[in-house]
Amino acid sequence: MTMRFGYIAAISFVATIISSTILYAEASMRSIWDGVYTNAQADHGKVLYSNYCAKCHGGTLDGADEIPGLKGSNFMADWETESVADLVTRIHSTMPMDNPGALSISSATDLVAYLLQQNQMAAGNTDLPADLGILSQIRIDAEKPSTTLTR
Amino acid sequence: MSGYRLLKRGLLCVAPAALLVSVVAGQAVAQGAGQPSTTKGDWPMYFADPSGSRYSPQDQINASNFNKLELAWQFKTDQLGARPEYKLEGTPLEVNGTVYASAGSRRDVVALDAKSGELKWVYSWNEGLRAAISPRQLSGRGVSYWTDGNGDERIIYVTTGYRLVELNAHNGQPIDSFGEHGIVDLKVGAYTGVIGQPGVYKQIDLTTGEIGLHTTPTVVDNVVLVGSAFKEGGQPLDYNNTKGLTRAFDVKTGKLIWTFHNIPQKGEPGYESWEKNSADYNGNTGTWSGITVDRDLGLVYLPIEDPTNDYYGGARPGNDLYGDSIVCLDINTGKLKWYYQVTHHPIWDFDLSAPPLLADIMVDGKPIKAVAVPSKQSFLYMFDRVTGKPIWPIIEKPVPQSDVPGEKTSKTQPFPTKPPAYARQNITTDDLIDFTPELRAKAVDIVKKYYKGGAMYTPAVVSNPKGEFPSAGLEMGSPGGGTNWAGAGFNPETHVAFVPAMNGTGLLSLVEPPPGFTDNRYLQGVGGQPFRINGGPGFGSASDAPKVGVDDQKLAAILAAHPQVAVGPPPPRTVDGLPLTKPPYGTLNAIDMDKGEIVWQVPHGDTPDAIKNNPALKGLNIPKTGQGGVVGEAVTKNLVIIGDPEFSTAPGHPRGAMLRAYDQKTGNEVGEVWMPAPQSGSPMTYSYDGKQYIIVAVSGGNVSGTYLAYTLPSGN
Repeated sequence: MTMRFGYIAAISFVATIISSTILYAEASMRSIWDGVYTNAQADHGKVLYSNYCAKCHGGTLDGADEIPGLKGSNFMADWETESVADLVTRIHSTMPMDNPGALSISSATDLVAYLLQQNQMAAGNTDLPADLGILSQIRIDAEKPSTTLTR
Repeated sequence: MSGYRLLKRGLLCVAPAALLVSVVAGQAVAQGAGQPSTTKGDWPMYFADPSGSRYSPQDQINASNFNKLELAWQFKTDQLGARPEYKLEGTPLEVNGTVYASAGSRRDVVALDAKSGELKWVYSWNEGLRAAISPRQLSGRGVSYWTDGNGDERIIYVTTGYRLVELNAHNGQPIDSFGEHGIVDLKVGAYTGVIGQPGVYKQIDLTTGEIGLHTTPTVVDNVVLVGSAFKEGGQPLDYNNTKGLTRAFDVKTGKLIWTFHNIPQKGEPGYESWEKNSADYNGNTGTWSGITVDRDLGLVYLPIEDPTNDYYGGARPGNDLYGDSIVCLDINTGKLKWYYQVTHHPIWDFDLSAPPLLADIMVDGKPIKAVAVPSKQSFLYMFDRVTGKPIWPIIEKPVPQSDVPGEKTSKTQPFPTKPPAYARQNITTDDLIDFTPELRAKAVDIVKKYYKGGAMYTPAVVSNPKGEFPSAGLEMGSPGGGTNWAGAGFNPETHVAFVPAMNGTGLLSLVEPPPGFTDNRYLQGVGGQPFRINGGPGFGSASDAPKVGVDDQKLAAILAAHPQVAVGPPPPRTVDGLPLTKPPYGTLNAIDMDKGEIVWQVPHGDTPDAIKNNPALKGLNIPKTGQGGVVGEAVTKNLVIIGDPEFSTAPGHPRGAMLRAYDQKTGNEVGEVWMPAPQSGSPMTYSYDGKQYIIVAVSGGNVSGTYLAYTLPSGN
């Protein structure tokens, strides 16, 4: 009995360590280069882009005169070191300019997946979650970091 | 009888000719007791003084202490307007201890304590739909100030909905005796068609009619000078668009003094430069940048923009005066004194984008009252501002001709002999990205595959509907080239102009719009890609706007009937994400206006992170590239103060942007101060209560519009 109890305790202890490690790893920063979205999600983002964003930012994301482009070095410079949550929040609360708030957090997240795809970050197997807490732990890097932070 | 009703009945004329008001010119009024000036330490106009100099003779902040500047206060604009603004482009004013500025996404006006930044009053007007669909959104580029020198002080500005408003500078309340309780409706008198022709003349709808303005009026003595602006010009839906106007109003009463028709009416000089009477049914050609004034001479100087359709002029054959012209008018009458058109038959979006600089110079020992006009094509066009005669010869030279059906380009364009171009004007192989031979080869390949031309004044092409050559005409220029809305400045003591410039490519491409959508034969677009209206920010892009514009609905219906599918991905405009052309991307250029020579040129702004950290460029020693972006300056006794247009992370600094000070004589950077975001509005400087301050607007990325005020630490 004592052995089993000890055995259970040991397993519980190990399980706690493992889950703490998972939680801890979840709490450490990932990069947008870590395959953080799926192509299917980006496809949905593309539809949203076409309906809400292309009117000002252009069909090819190049922007125009007073409107910033959404791909390339200038865009990445604007957002470098911010988190995906920052970008999602910005889109959700201020964009499109004629109807801010029309894009839910979930839609804004799918849009960001599309932007990541257009900015050459590789897709992965999991969608970007519509969860600002988790998104705040994904960092926007203009260049792929030399040490990729993964779970 | 109101001016509006006169027009409705088809009677002549917009400008009540009887109302010629004599303006008190001469030194006495402005320099008299009670009038603010930069000499007193104020900054009473957007560009410091009527000459457009952006100069103040302050020197407490100088090369020896610029690095010691600390933040005195900051004013965040988040709570103004329905949601925060991320494009704060204003230059505040300061008069005698109070700062006045435009701010927020609804273009509120604020008054702040000059020492502490404390908010003293706010004026906010929700104009509803009229502002929501205005072509010129957000907080704009500043406000204007007037005083009678005797305690009556007013703030004057143009709202998003294009109304001229006067506020009591002490408390922000509208001046009841000005216009209608503080308001003049500037849309009254804006029209399409031909004055005096019922059925052809049309006063624009006061709510939905297209006209607006970012630039604040120029107020000199008792005159308020107001320009006009429209939507971005690449995709006008109707070439019979609102006609550009420049007007003068009485500062006390709001009465219209005169109107200058930027597009001549029949019988006015310049009308015949629009062939087939096309002046009758074309529009735009506004004065969207700053108007400068010579008070002593009683002359005003207008920088005028493109006529309708920035890239295709098939509906307006001829030179199209006064498009892309510097125009000099009599301040009392609005009568034309002289003009010079810098781009004939304008189809390059080479609007005159900057306030003309009025400098008194010495050329070959002779004093000349000059006007120097910065431009998107990187020429500083210089004229005698009394006579309009070029100071150094300007030669008409042959330029590439258009092959677009229905287009007729000017055979020649004017090329100044002096001063030389201050940024690149052509794109040859040698101008393409050159960090590595591989990148250069890729760029050459891209250009060869898709883009035509490269010489200055390469016209737009009909974009190949298969996405093949030619997708666009290639040139150095608008919108990424030369000097844009933030303009330039100069030191009136040394006669040196300081002109910011960008070296960015323009891709000029036209497509046939979907059938039934517009009467324009060609609009800006990319062949092989679904047609889109490029909307904003402007028309329909304010938070109160209708959710789907009328034009969008119309286009959606047409596209549903004639669906368009992309032939593939659009042609590349960058090389592995890097700019197609080689650096420098942004520069600051000092031009000796006496000699017509460039004194120094420096890249302005840190090398962008994307270049610094690019793995393909690792190990290369790349000289400072500067940054492309529209930034303006303040000029003091010895410094030029100008901030970076992009975020970057320099060693020793957190991510942000730097506000830099350059030595006027050498172009050496003598100091820099960190800002949390790029400069988005041009800096100004003032001195109050013994301390000098610099205020600059920053915004971008995740940082909402903020006015930052810097000063030296106390005891310094």
